[in-house]
Amino acid sequence: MSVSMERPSTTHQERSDEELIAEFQAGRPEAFTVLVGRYKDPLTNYVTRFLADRDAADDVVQDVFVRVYRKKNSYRPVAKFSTWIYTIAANLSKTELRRRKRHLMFSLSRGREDADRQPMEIPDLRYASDIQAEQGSRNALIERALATLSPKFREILILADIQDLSYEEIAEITGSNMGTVKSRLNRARTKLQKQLRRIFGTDDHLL
Amino acid sequence: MTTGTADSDRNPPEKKDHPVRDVLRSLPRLHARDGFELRLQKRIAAGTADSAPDRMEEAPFPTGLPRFVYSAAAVAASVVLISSFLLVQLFSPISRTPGVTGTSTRVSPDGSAGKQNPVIPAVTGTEPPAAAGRDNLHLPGRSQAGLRPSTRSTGDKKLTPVAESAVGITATRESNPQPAETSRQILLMNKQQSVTGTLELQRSDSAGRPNDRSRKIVPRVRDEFGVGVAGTAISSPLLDSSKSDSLRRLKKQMLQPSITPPKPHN
Repeated sequence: MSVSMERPSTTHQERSDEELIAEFQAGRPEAFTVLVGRYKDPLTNYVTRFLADRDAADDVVQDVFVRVYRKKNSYRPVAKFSTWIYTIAANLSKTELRRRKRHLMFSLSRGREDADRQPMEIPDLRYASDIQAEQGSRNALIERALATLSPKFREILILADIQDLSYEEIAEITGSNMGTVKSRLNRARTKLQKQLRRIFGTDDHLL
Repeated sequence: MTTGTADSDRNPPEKKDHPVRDVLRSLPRLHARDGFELRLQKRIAAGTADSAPDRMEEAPFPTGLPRFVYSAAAVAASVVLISSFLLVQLFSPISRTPGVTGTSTRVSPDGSAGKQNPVIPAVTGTEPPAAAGRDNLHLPGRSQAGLRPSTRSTGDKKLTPVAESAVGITATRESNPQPAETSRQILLMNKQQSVTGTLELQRSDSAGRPNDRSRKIVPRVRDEFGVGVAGTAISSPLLDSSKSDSLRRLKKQMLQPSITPPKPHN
């Protein structure tokens, strides 16, 4: 199979994801190029927020597309393509998290370097004033607060409130049922709200 | 960019209520870096883009050794620990106490048996006849002393160790074997080994019969440790409790045990 990322035609751009993957399964690689163009930014956004690491997120998103490319025939049109590719991205992101955590556990020499890349597992609520003084960036503070949540809460929060996926899609991606998604999302929002109130104070108009 | 689903379908009304949602939506959208497609094309073409789980499986540990080495080391360490524990349990002196009279019976201050099982070796039948014969031969008075050993110890209200009286009792039993009584003693000893208090009461029940009395306690005086009867917590005053007042005193002694048998020299 050709690996060239051919320039998609206008007709490809108008087709749905499911039609494109079907074309790609039929042997037309330009459909894959369209899919990459559609999903590279949403997946980068999702994985970067989840891992809190831009470099690692870039590698994981590349892995996602490589897997789609190699395993294209494992997709069945019973589910939406977006759900399928988000599921792959979520699984690879969790795997990356576990790998980094384990590497951090066994590594003695690279501890500081990895600790800088692993901010979400050890929440430190005292960073707020320091970061405010150094960066003064509201978005950075929000991202840091988001990173303090546990992965299961962070995943659902990103999928629901940043990626705008529906409850059904989130349930399918995370392998949970709807009730679990709703309750976990509510708890995740409450936790993040507490974190943000500690950072910004209760007088913030958004909180 | 479209992802195949309209935003109106994705946003149920209740999801818009929470203020955190607005905060998160205010974050800037991140985009893939430049040259993403080119790098992806290279990875696909090179065929070196392994999936994350594959990389995880193949990733060596920081020391450079593969993962199975650590797994094998962990299994080996577990086996060594378990086997050493079993060996210690197997060859420790405590584990050999059944049938061995060298270990002491530790009696706690409340009269109950301690951690070790009480070693009451009576009617085990393992006593060498020669040893009993020697006792009978060299200490002819011990037979009589064994028949009434409690006359002396009841007065000072101390539970005497069994060793002294038991030798004479052993000798007497060797001279008058009775199989029916032996089986009865076996049953009695089963109770004695379970509860020390039962042991004392069982003795007092048959205390009036002199012939039986001589068979109640037959501890072994020698063992492989050569210590003698170190730990049998048998109180000889119980053997002479024919009268009710002495029986009461003995029961008091049972409730106030002061037995601290000597430790074995193993």
